[in-house]
Amino acid sequence: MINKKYIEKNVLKAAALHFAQHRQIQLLDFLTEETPHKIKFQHIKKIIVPDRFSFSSCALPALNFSEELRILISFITKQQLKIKEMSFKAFEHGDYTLLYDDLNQSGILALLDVSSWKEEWGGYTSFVADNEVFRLVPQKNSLFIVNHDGLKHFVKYVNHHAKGKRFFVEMWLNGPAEI
Amino acid sequence: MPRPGFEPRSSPLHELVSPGKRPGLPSKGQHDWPDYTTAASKPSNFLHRIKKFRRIVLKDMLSSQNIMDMPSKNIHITHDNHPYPHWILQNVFPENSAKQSAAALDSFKFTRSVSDLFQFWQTADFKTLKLPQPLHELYHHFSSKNFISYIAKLTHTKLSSTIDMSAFRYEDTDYLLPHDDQLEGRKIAYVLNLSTLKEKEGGALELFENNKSNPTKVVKRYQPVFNSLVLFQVSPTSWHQVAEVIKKNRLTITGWFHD
Repeated sequence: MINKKYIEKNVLKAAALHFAQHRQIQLLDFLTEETPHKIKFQHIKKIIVPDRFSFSSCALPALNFSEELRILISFITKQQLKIKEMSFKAFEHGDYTLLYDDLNQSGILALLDVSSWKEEWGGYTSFVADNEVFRLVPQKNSLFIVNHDGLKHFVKYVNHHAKGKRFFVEMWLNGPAEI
Repeated sequence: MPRPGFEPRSSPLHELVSPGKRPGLPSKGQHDWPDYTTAASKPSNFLHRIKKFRRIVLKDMLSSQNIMDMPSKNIHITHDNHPYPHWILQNVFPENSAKQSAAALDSFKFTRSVSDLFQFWQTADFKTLKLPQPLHELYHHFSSKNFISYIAKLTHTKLSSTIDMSAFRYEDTDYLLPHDDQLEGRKIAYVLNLSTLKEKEGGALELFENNKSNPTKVVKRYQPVFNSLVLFQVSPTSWHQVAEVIKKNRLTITGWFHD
């Protein structure tokens, strides 16, 4: 399922080094098969709280490669991680999330994007401390991993130029200290 | 019918400093304009005259009642308490005045503002800017005792002389997501529309119904209509947003009256 190059030790070591320096990494061509596509229409439900967010989502109990994913992310982040929460999300024209005061999410966040996307459509994920620290522009079949401690993030409003929806798997992982 | 006030007026100042005849820079071969650079006493005399005329022009401008008659003769006012008190004043200013204000904004410096909540172009507060004449008059008018007491009476709200005012331009894909405008001192929010947008062009001001001060759903939509002024009471329930603009520019002058 996971592209074989991400099982090679020297690639993983380079990824771990990059993560240690930049607190985030984006792995392209991540899966050999685009598995998430098969689950995208199951039980997905739109939720709107106007002053906080608007998107579609469903909880994911597990993916058939969850365990491999957990091990890979643990290696790159050099932490013994456990999966805390996993969901499947879709953002279409008019969807967004906003920052708010009690938005407190810490741990490791992994986003597995499955759609082709353009930055000018909005819908990208912006990570902020006081200002924007970095911006994840979705790339088809890529895994983004970030140490989310001390950060907040929002998904930029998806504008009318967007073609289709941005689909991704969102995974929160915690180290043993937090379990 | 166009009303007087914003028409460029021929003033003594214009005659003194007409283009091509700037004092100190006499054109070669033109002797009808005195050369102020040669005589030390003349420039100061000239400056004195300019200052004097400026004072006259300024005084005339500030005291004039016909600059921006309020309310305009064609004004049409609607009021609605749902989902919270708001007023719409159509044809609020003489059309020519509104047109000239919009035109004056064309040459204005707008700054791009982008966040999770919004995306648009905006100017600094007018009180910090050197304003071209139509906007100076507009600002002066909005902050005048007469106008503020008119708004206070209309909205049954006690208002002080403090106002905020800046201009906003929304271009294709720009928007403003739900917020309640609450900030210390803000009592009445206003939006002066300086463009008209059709429904398919977006840009509507949308008002939310609320549940225990949390916004639930949009219940009122107002498409921007040129020269209309929308007012609403700022409160924990005054949730509103600006719908995404589609391939069009939405131009407004926006701010708050304070208590």
